[in-house]
Amino acid sequence: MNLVDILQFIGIPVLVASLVMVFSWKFLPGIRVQPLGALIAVGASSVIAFSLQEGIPNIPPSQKWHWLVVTVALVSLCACLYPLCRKFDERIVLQATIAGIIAAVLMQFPSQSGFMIRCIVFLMVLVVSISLRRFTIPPWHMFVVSWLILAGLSILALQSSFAKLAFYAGAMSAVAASMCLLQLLKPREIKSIQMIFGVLIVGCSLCGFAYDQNETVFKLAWFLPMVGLPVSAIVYLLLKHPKKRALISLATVFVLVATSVLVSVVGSAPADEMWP
Amino acid sequence: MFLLKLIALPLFFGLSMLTTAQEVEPVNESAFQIDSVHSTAIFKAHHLGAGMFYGRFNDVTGTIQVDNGMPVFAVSIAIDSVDTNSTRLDGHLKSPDFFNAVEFPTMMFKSNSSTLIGGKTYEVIGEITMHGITKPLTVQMVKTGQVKNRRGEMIGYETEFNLARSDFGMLYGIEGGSLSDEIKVIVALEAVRK
Repeated sequence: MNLVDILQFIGIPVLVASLVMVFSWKFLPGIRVQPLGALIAVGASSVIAFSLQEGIPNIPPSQKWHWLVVTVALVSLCACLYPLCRKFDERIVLQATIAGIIAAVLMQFPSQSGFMIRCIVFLMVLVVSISLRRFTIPPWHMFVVSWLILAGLSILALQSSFAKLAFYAGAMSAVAASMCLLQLLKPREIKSIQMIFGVLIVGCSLCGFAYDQNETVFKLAWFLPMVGLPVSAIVYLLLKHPKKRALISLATVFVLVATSVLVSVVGSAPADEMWP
Repeated sequence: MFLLKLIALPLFFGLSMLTTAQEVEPVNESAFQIDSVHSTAIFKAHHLGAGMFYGRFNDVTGTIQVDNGMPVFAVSIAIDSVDTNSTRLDGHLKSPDFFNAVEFPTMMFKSNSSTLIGGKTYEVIGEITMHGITKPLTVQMVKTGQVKNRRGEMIGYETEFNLARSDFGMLYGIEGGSLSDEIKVIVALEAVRK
């Protein structure tokens, strides 16, 4: 892993996402179509981040972890269809349910194909997607939380020597950060995008867990960042002071992400120089 | 009495079928079992365009069948047994960046034909399966010895060949030049007659 790799595998997806967003300011001015900019930006950058490393995924994929990007692409397409259905973009639970069903059916990581596991995947996506945006959580908050969690998952992937997942999660984390900055620069209508980030967070966690070669107790670190989301959403709901609730809910997520990274560092092999 | 018959009949038929299966099992005199302790699979790759990096697989199993003097190989290598003298590096090689040991736990070579091409060297044509992809492979296999001793009859073969890992969908580090596409492989087998 070197600077060229980082620029290529993380820089290009961020550049594409940012350009799509900036162009959408000009070409998608109407309130109804404004959210399409962010949806296309995140969906396209996900496919690009993956393709830069593994090429365009086959259907069905040659390796099970490739289902991650196929699922994210399909959920992104579903999210983009909202202008066709009246008020779909306002029904966060319905969107989360659709994302959950797609993820439960498509995401097939090793040892995760049982019916019960698929029900758990559905519930995870449902809870995470709802927690990202429900309870009047503002878009910038959703992007910051996604940035934190995906960055944490990227470090966990690096710890478990899965560089491709590390780059993918890292790229999507950087995309979330750039979306946050652009949202603060020019606030736009954001709808349905929690479907994509919800699947991304659950997908990266499950994928990392499936391929992690550490002991099970340390592998559970993959799920800690995700746990922070409903907790953060509840904190956001319970507190009334706008600055306080934003700060405390973000701190909750940060603490859980940092704990998961610590657990992973303790559990992984001694850090000699990594390949290559 | 009826209950006794109910239990005894299936038991009788089950046992008789088991006995029949044991009786018809072919006993192959020419089959050798690969001794994983004394067999080795070594690979080397060019690292960062500088040094040659070596690693090995410690678990090599399978059989060598000798039909009319011609060897037929069925070799299996456990990906989980990769050993580079670095736990971290082994983990990376087992990850989906390279071998994806969780999904593809073994690498296999099965030969289809062998031809003696001179002295103790055979041209062996077969198929190698790695990372879920099967490709034809032709290697020159040298018979390193055949002896009878207190451990039984033993036979040994060795081969060296090159593989392009990109042919097997292992692309990590090729574009950036951090690790060569071409991998040299040395396989030395020792087998004992079953």
